[in-house]
Amino acid sequence: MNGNPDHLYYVALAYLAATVVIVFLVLQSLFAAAAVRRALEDAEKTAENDAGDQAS
Amino acid sequence: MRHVLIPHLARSLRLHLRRGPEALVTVFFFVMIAALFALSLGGGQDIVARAAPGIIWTAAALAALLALESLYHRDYDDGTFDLVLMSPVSVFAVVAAKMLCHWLLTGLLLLAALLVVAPMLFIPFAQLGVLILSLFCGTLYLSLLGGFGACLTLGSRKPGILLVLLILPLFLPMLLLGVLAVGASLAGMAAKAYVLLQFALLLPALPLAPYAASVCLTMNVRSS
Amino acid sequence: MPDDECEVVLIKTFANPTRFLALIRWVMPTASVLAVALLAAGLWLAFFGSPTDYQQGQTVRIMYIHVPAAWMALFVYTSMAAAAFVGLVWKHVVAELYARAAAPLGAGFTLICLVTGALWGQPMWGTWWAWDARMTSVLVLFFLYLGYIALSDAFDDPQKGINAGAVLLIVGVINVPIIKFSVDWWNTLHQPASVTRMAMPAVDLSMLWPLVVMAAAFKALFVALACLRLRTEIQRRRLAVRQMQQAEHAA
Repeated sequence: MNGNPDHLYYVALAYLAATVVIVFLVLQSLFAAAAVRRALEDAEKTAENDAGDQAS
Repeated sequence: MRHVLIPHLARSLRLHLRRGPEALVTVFFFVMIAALFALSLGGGQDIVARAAPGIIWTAAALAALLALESLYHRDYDDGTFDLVLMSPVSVFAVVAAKMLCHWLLTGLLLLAALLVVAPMLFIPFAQLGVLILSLFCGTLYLSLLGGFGACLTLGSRKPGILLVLLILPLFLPMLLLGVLAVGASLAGMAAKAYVLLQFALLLPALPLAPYAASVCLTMNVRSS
Repeated sequence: MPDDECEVVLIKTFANPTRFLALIRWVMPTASVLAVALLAAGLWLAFFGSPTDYQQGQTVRIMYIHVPAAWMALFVYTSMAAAAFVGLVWKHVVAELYARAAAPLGAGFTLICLVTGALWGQPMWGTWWAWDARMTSVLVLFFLYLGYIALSDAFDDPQKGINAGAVLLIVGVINVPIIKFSVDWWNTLHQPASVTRMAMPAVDLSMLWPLVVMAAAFKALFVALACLRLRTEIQRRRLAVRQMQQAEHAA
């Protein structure tokens, strides 16, 4: 049982699975954050334009 | 509170019994699911008798959850709950009445249906007492928990399936204890400890579930 | 008394989203750097800095992710319930968004725990799954997470989703010890003895280090991602307000 080469396969799979989940969470969080920030900037820009139109 | 609970209970019962056969659908579903399990396990007495506690509890849980939608979500859809909130009636009493009504229409009928299902699953009539006591506790708990879940999901998309998904994990302790109780009794051992634990779970739920449900009802029915 | 006041002041201070965002501005990068460093250290320790178990061989290294993931799963759920309570009772604007931010992270850790548990079980005990107390409790916790995510997303009005989700969390967190107790009991009575012996190896000092470092790494990673997601939730709410204002202007 000690040093059984098959076992390393399972260990590798386990760490790989954990990495996949973590990387997915990180990427999804980053993308969602970027999307919302862009939408917020767009909304603020349109608000400025509206204010500018009203002023003129 | 009592002079609110009884009229509301009576009203709910009257409304649902007026639809007559609808109450029996739950019982029919219970018997059908039990039969399905027994058949798919091969019908042999040894396997089915061993699986009997699990089959009964699972079938009872599913059947009881099925009936929740017509009691709660329908009242949400047709505006009854809005009227309840606008009136000075205690929401706690209304919800408690609904939970009791649900139990009378499902749990109680399921207990009666045990007379049919027990022989189907090779449960000897001598053990029926423990089975009924255990399921009495479990179905009442499910009516309480289910009512809470129904109020929690009022106004959501797909409330029916969401309700089942949310309630089943919370129901697990009662289900496990119930299966242990029935299993012990079938094996000829004392089931008293398990049944007592079931009641220990049930008793705090009696006041807490209607309270939590009334909080959810107020939250979800209030138009934003 | 002074302790209570401190906490209340802290909570009240961060009820202001802008001030909370300022806090995130330095917490998030710090936590991210810490997470990367600790993960690197943890991985090195897991593979090169610790021995193999004389019973379990190389597969004991899976424990270094499985156990910290389980700790995180429970910790995150409890923190979600606490924040939801504060958000619901005191209408704390930031706290009530925390659960939405943290839920996918908690679910991710629970998933890691389940998958690594299966990959640990197969070479060790010849079975991908066992209904033992620990794995069953983790599975139920996974369902609780998914249930929360489903419920909070199921309402057209986001505020209703947040409130309903908060109630679900509070009821759920009370149930977690009950579930654990009942599954424990059921397990000792129902499962054959060989399965209940799915115990972890006795942890000696050389194995403690990778475990602790990985646990700290997961914590730091969670803090960094939770900050990011919480900021996104706050901004999402601002966006909704902004859009409503614009709709009013147009009308």
